[in-house]
Amino acid sequence: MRITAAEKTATLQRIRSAGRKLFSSRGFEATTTRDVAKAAGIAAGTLFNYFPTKESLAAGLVLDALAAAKAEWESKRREGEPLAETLFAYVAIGLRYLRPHRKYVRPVIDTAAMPIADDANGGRTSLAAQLVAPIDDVLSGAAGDVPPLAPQLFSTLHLGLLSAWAADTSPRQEQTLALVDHATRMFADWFCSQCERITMPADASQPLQNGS
Amino acid sequence: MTISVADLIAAIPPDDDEEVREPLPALAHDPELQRVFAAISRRPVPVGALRRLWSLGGLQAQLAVAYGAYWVKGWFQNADARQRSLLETHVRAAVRLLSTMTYLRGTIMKIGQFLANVPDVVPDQIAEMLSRLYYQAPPMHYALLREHVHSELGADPEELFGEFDPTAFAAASLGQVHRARLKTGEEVAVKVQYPGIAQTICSDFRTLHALVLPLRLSKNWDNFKDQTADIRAVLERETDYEQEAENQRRARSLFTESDGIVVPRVFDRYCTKRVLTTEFIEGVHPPQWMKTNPPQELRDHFGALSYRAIWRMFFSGRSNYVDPHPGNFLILDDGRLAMIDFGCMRPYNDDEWDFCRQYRWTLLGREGYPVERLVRRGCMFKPDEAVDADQMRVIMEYNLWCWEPYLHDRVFDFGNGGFLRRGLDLLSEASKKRYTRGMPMVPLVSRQYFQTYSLMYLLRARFNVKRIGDEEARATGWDEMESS
Repeated sequence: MRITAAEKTATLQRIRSAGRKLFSSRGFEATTTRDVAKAAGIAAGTLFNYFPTKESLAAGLVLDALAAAKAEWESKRREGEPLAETLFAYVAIGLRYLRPHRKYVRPVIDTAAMPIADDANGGRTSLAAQLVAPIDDVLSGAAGDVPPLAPQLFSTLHLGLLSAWAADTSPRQEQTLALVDHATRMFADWFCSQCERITMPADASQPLQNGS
Repeated sequence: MTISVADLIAAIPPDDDEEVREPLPALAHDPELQRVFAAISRRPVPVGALRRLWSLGGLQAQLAVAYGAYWVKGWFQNADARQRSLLETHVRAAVRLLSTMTYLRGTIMKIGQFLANVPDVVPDQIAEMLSRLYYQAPPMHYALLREHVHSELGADPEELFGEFDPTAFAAASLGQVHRARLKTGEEVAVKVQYPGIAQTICSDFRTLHALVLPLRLSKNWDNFKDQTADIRAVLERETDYEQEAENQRRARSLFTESDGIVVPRVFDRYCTKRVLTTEFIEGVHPPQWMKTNPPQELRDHFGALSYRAIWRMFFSGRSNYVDPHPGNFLILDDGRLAMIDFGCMRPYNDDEWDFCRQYRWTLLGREGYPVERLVRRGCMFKPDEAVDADQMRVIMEYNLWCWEPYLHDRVFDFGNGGFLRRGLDLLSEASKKRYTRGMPMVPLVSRQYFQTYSLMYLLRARFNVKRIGDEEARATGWDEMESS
């Protein structure tokens, strides 16, 4: 039987919705792919046509949230915003959108470098690569020659912040906000010190190109 | 020779061996100050106890080394050169001290605020720099503020308010304040707390305990723990803006239009534990106001208003307004006084309240309340416990100093710096001799006295203290109540 694109999209939505509910209510560890398939009203084997593992389903949910966060972050960027502030906003708005998924962010981080299914077009990417993609443009806008290590370093830093946030027990995870502030200022200072075009940390406040 | 903190601060040597020949730059445009602020703005509040301890240790080490260097150098300088060198080191030390304190924020900053008010404890140049701590700490950048507000109130500031100024107009130890306009039109001040500052205060206290660990061996260790626990409780309450909103509502209910004392209205819809939104009041802080060289009559007027406000909260509010520093007062053009911060309030329990009544009666000479009984109760001595005569003398003198302005029905001149110095000397003597045992409330009550008298000194105010105090006591029927 041939499955139309519309049916495929509808099935995908049901799987995501079931996964989100079960991961949040039962927890990631206690939820099986069989549980998700049952809740989505499909056969257990069918689920694997869409997501090869439970982790990739969770990662897909996390990536969806981050994509929505990226759109908001771009709309909120201000002319002349210092680099540290841009980076802070990128991470912090991401955390805002990830809040409903907080219970299962940790297993996603554990497999961050692993390729995961991009269900929209069947391609594959990784969480780490997704996290750093928008920042590539920001860093290029702030300096002509981006230090080769910078994107990778930021990606690692970002994953570390996500991990700290997932374990943060302070009210509304306010300790993570302070940590993100610290980390992004530190990264911006390091980045500026590495760039020939920007020799002083104060130059991080140079206007950045909007949009990425 | 006795070495004071002021000596040590003053003794920080110049960075190089060149003598100062240029006049001192205006502090506001001082490049070193600008550089320090730029550096601080890139540093977060350190939340780990170890890092804070390291910062403090670094400052102490600087001071200790500096002291020796200045002392030796002084043997070879003539008086004028020495004076110039001292002046320069004061400014340099002030910049360093400000840098350290602003970085640490929280509890340590409060010590800076206290020192700034006290004459001769720190040199004038340092006092001027410290006074900036009231409302010039570096702000959070807007992205952090926006995220924090969103997390607390569920929406970004620009969505919540009709207008919101992204630049803070004041920053202090725990938060920073932004001007905004509600969608209903009211002008408001939105205070947003630095994330993680509550944990910072807990770290400060762990640090304090680590630093004073040797005291554990003294017989007063348990009492010391009780007193620090009391301070800690007040400071932790201060991190809770919902509690502050409640304090402010209560304080506002204590004053009427005719008092000439304004407590801004709280807007509950925009308040959480980390965000406090109140009516915006246009006014000038006392230090700025004093620069306009106001006449004695006005200084007396505002001194008396401040004093009445503090004692109204004591007699009618049954609370200690622990933090009456100048940054918490605004002088309005129409002659009214505004109080704008109610985070640091300490309510009295029944036993303490009864003690306060007995204390006042004893010091005002009311019959049947012997001084020794008061001291024993205040110092928590057992009835049969022997008390050292010198300890009794120092404590009595200190208590009489606290009440000296109140004891006589006449105008008291707070402009005399000798009065404040005498109190500091007594406090210093009590500390050195470890006569620190007392009810848990004692450190905060002491702080209130010093802050109040420092504010009066700043204003160089003269007024009849007893008349105001008695009026406030009578209004509550205090004198008619029986004490145990």
